Amino acid sequence: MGGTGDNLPVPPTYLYMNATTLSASVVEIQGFATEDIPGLYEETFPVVAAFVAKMGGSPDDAKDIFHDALIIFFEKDIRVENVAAYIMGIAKHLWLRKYQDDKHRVSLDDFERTIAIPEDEHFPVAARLYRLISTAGKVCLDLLQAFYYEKRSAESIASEFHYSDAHSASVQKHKCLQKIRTLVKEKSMDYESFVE
Amino acid sequence: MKASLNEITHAIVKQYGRRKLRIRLESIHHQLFTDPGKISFKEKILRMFQ
Repeated sequence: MGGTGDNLPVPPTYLYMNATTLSASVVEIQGFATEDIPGLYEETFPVVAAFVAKMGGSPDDAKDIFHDALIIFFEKDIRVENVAAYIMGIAKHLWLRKYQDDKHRVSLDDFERTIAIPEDEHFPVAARLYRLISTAGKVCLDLLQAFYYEKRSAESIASEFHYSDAHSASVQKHKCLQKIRTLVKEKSMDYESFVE
Repeated sequence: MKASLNEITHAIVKQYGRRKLRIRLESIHHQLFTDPGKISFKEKILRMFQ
């Protein structure tokens, strides 16, 4: 186990890292190295599970709320000093959103009160359309989600998807955007029917 | 609500990325709860709910 010169234990780096601490060659989700996610999971899930158990929830409740909290955290794409505390704060907000009657039993500290939880999506895609597009456009969606959802660098994506360089990956990204737009257009003549 | 073609395209990409991430998290969870080397982790969690 590593330590400082004073033999103090070193906290796991994934609990304190942000995008600037990561190498450009590391595969990332929203600036977070994917290889660090299992460590983050193992370190943080017990904290959230203890909270859910205290509130009378089940192990499945704990898993569901933890996954939702992680997804919100990654999508926020922000830099925080204490990732575990931030995820715990999101989990508390999610619990309160689901069980409003527990307001008097859950206390949010000043830090947790500053955490904003996004509302539901503005344009939820109809399940039928999503299934059609995700099947017909799978290869392109894999590439596009790496750019737009995981927010990875073009260099990293070029390497994983076997493009000669970042420019080629970017060119393919634009072709794929056009392909998905075309697929969406083909699957329905009425855009209003796409949203539920 | 009427959404533009561009908005729908990006909503699909986001939904696709989110589903991939959720599958990854499910896989990590499954591994932590089935790996014999992580038995103490599993027991620690389950004790919380007893």
